[in-house]
Amino acid sequence: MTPPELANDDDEPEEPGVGSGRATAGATTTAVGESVEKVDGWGLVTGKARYTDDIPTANALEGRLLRSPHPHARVRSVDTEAAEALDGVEAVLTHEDVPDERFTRTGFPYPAPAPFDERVLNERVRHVGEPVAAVAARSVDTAERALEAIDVDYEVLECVVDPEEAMTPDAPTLHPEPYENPQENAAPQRNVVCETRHEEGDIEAGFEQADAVIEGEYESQIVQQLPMETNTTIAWIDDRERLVLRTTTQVSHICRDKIARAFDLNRTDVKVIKPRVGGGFGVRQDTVPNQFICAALALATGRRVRLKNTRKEDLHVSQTRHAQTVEIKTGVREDGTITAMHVDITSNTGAYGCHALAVLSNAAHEPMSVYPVENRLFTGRAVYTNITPGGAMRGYGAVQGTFGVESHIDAVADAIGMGPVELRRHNVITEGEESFEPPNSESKSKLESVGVSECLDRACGAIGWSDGPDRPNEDRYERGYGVALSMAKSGVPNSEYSRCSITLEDDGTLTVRIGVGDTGQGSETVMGQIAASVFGLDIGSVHVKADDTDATPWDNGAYASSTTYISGNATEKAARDLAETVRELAAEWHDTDPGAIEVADGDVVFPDGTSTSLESFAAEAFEGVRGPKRRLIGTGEHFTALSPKPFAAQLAEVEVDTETGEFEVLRLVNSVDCGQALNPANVRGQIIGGAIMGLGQTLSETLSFDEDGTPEIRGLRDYEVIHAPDLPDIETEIVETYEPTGPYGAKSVGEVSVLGPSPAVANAVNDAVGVRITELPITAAKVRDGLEEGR
Amino acid sequence: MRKNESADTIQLHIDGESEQFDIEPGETLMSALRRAGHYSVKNGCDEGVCGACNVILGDEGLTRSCLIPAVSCDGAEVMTVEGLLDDEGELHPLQEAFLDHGAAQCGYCIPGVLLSGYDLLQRNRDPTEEEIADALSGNICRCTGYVQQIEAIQAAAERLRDVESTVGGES
Repeated sequence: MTPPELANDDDEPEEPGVGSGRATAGATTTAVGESVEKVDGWGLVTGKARYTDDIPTANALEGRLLRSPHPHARVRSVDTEAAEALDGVEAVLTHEDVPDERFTRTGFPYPAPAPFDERVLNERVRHVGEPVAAVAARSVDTAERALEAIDVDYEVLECVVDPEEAMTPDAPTLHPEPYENPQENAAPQRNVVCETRHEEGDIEAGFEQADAVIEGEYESQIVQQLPMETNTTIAWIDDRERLVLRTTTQVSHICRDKIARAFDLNRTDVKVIKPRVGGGFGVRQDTVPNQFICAALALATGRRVRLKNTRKEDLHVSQTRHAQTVEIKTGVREDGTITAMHVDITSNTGAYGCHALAVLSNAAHEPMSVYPVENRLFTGRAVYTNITPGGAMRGYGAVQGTFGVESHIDAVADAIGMGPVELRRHNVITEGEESFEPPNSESKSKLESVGVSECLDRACGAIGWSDGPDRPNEDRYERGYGVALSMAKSGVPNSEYSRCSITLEDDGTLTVRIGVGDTGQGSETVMGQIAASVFGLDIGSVHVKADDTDATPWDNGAYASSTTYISGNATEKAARDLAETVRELAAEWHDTDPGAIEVADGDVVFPDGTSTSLESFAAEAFEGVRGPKRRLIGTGEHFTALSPKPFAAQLAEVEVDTETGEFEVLRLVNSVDCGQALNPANVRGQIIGGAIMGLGQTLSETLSFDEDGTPEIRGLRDYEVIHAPDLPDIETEIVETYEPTGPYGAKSVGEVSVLGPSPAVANAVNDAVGVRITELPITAAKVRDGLEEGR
Repeated sequence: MRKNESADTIQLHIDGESEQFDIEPGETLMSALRRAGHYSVKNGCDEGVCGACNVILGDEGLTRSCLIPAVSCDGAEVMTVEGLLDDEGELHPLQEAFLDHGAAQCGYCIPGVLLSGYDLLQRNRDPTEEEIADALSGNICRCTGYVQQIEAIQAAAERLRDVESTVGGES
């Protein structure tokens, strides 16, 4: 591991402030660009941070779910009489007790790009583990006995788990009844959620211009986000008869909206509290069945209800990363110019169509954007099957697509005898070129900050690409280098909306109200840094309030790497609006022009060079000594068709045992362009965390289902994540560009580094021993099979 | 396993304070601690895999509290992450280092990781990177990729050694 290049944020004084008499404490760690301590850090390291279930619930009812043992069945009837008769059982709910209206759990603003194909509890269950009935009881024991007492009469239906098979005429149909909000070319009768085609240029002409045409097929497995806190909700009716959910969400406002719509309640009659949340990585973008069901139980009983997944339940039923088959055909000229690329993807979306289209679309558009080929075509389809639904997970399709495209680029290079780095340099996107945007996107696709070439150069320099790997000591081992480039986004164009309100308190501190969905990424810290920076204040002078839909204006929440860019822009605008209000009032007091007043370094500076601290200014304003009382507030909102792209170059070194196929990833170099790094330590944390999550998908993680759609893992012990001793040497390089539309030049960083590890490792294995692994995860057995084939 | 109304009682010496716990039959130490409001003890899997519920349990040392019957702990000394603070409520060097290194993201695994680090530093004041990684082998952190945690533990070890060399070996 390389030692960190952290900014020394201990006691390094900033440049001295303008003016004198500033009363705002400690101007040492104000601003953007510094690795300030997380605003919630003290709670996190002392154990004082309160997550959803960390409040007294002695009198809460315990919720429990009866889950379907069948992958596909119609619920003929549910006999709940015996369960309801048990002493201590307060409610038993089935599909007959919940609203008829269908919706999508998918966490985008209404209506969301997803079919309305599910209810709170469904009469037809479509995957093993789908809730059939829910119980609220006075003790865990009673709740569990009630579940045992429920008698369900299932009409077991034929199931299908393979997407190709699901599209054949003989396959059972999962969603035979028509639904609202069908997506592009939906054909639910043959289990097709959507089918999409996007061509630029002339793909056939492009292949004709090529000297060589290379084809390949790449498959990725189902994995899970596995946040360390399982999905948990505590719901109650408050003293104003409103429904309150304290829950593990990364999108509190969208969650409130979906719950209110599902139960036909006023938005103002639902409140969502997002306390500290133990990780998200996409799974908390959706309003999951537990959240709807816990709300239903609270509404039915009028009591406080706790519904918490066990780890095994979470593993079995939380929306997963989609398994995808990515077929690629590329035309290339001898000089390395790619003339045409066709990517075709079949995506297994499981039981419900949440995220089916958006993940599918992202899977091709992001990796294909890295190479602005004149003639390009994306075709794809997402298919229903009887397994746990696919959802949002860090990378959002681009993990699968990048594994395909970046593995394939190496095959293309190989076919024309060119080096993989050289081929990439020849074709890679540069500043001013356009990304490959979905046809319905209104994003202005001309990119203003593109650091991918520099990322590649820096990563190659760090690993010593041109020298190649060292020779291992023993002949049976071979080493190889592999490279992958990637691109992500900064929010969904024309969909994100964030509004921020900042109050100047009468001691010169700031209360920032913004509904960001911090599940550990440091969103609240970054918002605080941005607000503080506008005034030249210390981060300690800012409180960010983000945990409650009553107290914050609408924000879409945390997904699509949107927070720093979208919410950050809203925060910067609110802070500048507040600063302008300060200037106007100061100008009024001093009978001058607002433009002549400066707000900087925690001071209000007047044209004659004298200044007063923001603290004194705010105190005077609220005392009303110079006029009416004033408590100043600034607001800002951000909505945009833009989504600037972060980039990464990731390089892996592997050592392969040519006798057994066993291999080790020795090094992983991650070079990332996220625009300006507003908090370098946290940026580095995002890069490493993403890369290691990507490495887990590459090497070991798999959520497998048997042919009957039953999850094969028994619990966390069967789900193999990367542990500390498994780490390769990790190097991170932050390649700073400046994004002119970003807050302080920033783009996003949350997702881009999860994309490259799989193809980088696959390419490194191929470089070492000439074995091309095209199916994730890359295991020793697959490498050994490849070695044996080659012998 | 059936639970009944008759609750048992155990006494623990927890983070320096004596406390009585009403426990349910078959209840784990993790569950008993959490029900009594010791929320820093996290339930990450309840199957002994993730290390989020780590405590230091008397002579047993680092222990996953989800695997231990509460009833077997009567009279034991238990340290949770809340016991890392000193008498003045100041952070332990490990906690300081975690903040300095950005080693906590969502924080859910952090109490368990800190106690693994603390347990290591009790035994080894100058651990190598590899020894630290091994000490964290029973913890799952899904956010950080462990790197900044390993760096933080190394930095804390250094700080502790510095303190000890200036005050003459007291810890």
